[in-house]
Amino acid sequence: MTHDITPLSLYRKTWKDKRARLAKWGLITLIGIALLADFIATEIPLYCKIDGTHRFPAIHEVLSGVGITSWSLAQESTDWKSLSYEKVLFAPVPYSATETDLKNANFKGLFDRQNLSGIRFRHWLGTDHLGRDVLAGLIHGTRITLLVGVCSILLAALFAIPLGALSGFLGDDRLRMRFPTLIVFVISMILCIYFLGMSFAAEGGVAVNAILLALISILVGIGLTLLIRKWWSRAKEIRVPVDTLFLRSIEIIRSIPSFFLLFAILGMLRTPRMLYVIMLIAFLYSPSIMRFVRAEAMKLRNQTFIQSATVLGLSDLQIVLRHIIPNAIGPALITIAFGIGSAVLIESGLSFLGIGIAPETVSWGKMLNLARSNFSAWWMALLPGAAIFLTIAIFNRLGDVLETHISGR
Amino acid sequence: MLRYLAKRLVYAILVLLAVSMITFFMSTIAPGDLVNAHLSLEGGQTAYKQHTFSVRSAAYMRSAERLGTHLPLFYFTVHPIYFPDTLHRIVRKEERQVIKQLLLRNGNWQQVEAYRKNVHGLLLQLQSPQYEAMALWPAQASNDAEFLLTTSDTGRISYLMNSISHTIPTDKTDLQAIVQKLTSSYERIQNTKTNVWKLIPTIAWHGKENRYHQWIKKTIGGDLGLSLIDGRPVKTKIHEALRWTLNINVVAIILAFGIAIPLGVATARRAGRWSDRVISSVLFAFYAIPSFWLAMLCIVFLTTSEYGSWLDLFPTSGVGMVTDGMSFWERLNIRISHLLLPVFCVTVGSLAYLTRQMRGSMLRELRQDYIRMARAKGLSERVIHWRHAFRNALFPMITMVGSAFPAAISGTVILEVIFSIPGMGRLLYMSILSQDWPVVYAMVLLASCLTIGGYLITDLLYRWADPRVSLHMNKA
Repeated sequence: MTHDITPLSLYRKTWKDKRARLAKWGLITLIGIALLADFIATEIPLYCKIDGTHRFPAIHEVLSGVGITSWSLAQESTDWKSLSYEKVLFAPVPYSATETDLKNANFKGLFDRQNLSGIRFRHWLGTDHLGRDVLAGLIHGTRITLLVGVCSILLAALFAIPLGALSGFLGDDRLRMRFPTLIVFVISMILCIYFLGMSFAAEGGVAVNAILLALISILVGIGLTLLIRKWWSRAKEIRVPVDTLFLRSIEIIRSIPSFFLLFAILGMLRTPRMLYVIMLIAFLYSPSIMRFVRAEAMKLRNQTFIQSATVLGLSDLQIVLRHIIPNAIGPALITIAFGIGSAVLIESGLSFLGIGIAPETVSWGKMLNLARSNFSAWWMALLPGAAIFLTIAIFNRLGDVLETHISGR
Repeated sequence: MLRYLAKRLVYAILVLLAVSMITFFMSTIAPGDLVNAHLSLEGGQTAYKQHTFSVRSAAYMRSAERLGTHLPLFYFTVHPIYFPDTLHRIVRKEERQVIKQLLLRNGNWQQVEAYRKNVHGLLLQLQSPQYEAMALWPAQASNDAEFLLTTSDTGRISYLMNSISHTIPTDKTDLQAIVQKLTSSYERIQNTKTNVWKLIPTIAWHGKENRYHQWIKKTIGGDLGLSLIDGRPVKTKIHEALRWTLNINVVAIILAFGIAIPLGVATARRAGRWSDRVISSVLFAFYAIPSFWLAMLCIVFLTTSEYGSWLDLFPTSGVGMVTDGMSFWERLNIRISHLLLPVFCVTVGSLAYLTRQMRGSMLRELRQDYIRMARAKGLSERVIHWRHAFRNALFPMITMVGSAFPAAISGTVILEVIFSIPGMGRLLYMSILSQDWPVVYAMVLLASCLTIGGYLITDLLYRWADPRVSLHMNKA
């Protein structure tokens, strides 16, 4: 029943499902906002005419940020709003997330009187203690939230799906190795890990040497394996309990409460970087994907089409790559969808506590935390949290719908 | 059953060992020097700074020996062949790092050791009594020399050496000679380069005299070290905090299960009807609500008279003051009013998940053949639901009992920070902010123990309920 669901057909079904309609459009909106944040909410005019020349400063700003153009007009200190233009078109939200509007500092509410030069510049969703626009913060926060949520889970899936498929398919009995081959394999793995570790510890030429040695140890391992296969064919074959090994190592990761581990590691880092957060969430979430894919692969391996593939003489690796993984991806999408939801939750929790994300970035969690310093700023408590809630709800909904399609209910 | 129990226990202990190793190694790579932190705890960090290098080294060594950091890290070390087996005898963490870097670059232990000895010799000379009363230059030069022990950066080292040789007056020929020796020993290091093959590893065996062994012995004995902030035993700090976290979580979990099981059954029985739909969508929303958002909303709207005095229902934060004179009811009243909101937030978080699970499991049972059979037999719906389906549907909920607890502890971290409850989560947060690593890692270890215990109990319950379950769970 499961093997006729390809990822593509599943995707189509889910996309057309009525129950996912809201979630679908919500996701599209979120992605759109995340991609276009620099044009929706920025203090830099989208278009202006100064001294008779037409300019598109916002586009220039983005391009020079990526490094495509270097921009002469990009003066960091320019107060764009006080310049005199012949013609000007500001973004829908004429503030960036980090721009401080000191005239409206100290939590100006949605309905409060705001000190503005025109209705065009109103802070529609209020400001925080520094006078930063809340709406702009929400728009730019979308980017970070999605980036961390999606990237971390995709990274986790990238490693977890093949490993889980291998573990479930090979089980404890399918992989047989000659005893000497096994020893060669283990030793070359240990050496490789050691040399890679050395390359992290050392610097410059030594690090390069260490990586070289890691490669050499892999190559020597492969060479020895081939030699053993050719000349030592009478060596005893033993079963490698791949599945048990996988389960045990997963169990160890799962035994450490992920939030505690995340805290402890991120707290140790001197410079907070989003990359670390992504990598850690990926590491901590991969066991759940692995377990899921493993269970799926285990079901698949007893099905007739896999058995006939074996009979036809396909190697185990081919079967895993061509049949197990493609068929396991569909079900894995459920955990991926729910995983993105929980990654978003973790990210916002971390930034709520101010751990792991650089202080200058604006994120939903951090905005929510600002409400703790001023209870009268109800919009700071309500809006960022609602954004987090909606994002998680969207991904959970998608996961739900996927689940019903896969289990055929 | 007994055999399964024994196997499962051994397995849990193995996992615990692995986790203890992970936590231990993480605690050793935490920034900062444990010994220095302890020295400043004992008071007189300022006085300590005024002492000469040799006095300080001795104090450092004494402290290090008490803490056991003078021992090798583990039962064995794996390092490049040319590394000495006794690198751990350079006790100071920073200095050991520097020497390691130099060694990696140069690949000759004799040369690096000569350089290190020369720096130490220079320091001893500079801070000997004969120069003590002199002008500024001995202090300056010895400062620079001490910096040499903290950096492996080529540019910085040559800068420092230059500065030392310029600070020392030319007429102090004996000192200049030492500096000369130092410079030449460093040049020797610079001129030799390690070759690729020297990186090949070797194993050095240290036996029981190692830091991990000492640490785990102490930990099992209940000694978790001292907090670096206030010098109190980590154990006491955690013990005080654990009480609050346990209270909140136990109440919340009991509440959550107590509501979720009947609610799940009820919605499953009405599956498809509007009441089920309404409850299910509310639960869906609850499931996605971040508990810290809920907590923020509660604390902003329900604890102050900001939005109308009738909304000032609960105290804002903390757990309330309880004095000895109060009666039991007064105490209970204070505690409940303070803890009601946190318990509510924790409960909502797990309630949605548990109800969904219960509903799903009940629905699965109701589709089974034996239910159809029971219906055909003419049993009443009530008997079918409660006597047959419910019992079997409850079975997967057993798994939740074990894992709900660790999950809840993780989840309360932020809630405790928001509501200022002096529990584990707040302690963890505070300790991380103040870089109090012994507390942090003790807590990670403790939380892992709780998790492992939770899984163990789950598995045993599962096995007790369904004897077919084996340790290998090959039937996924």
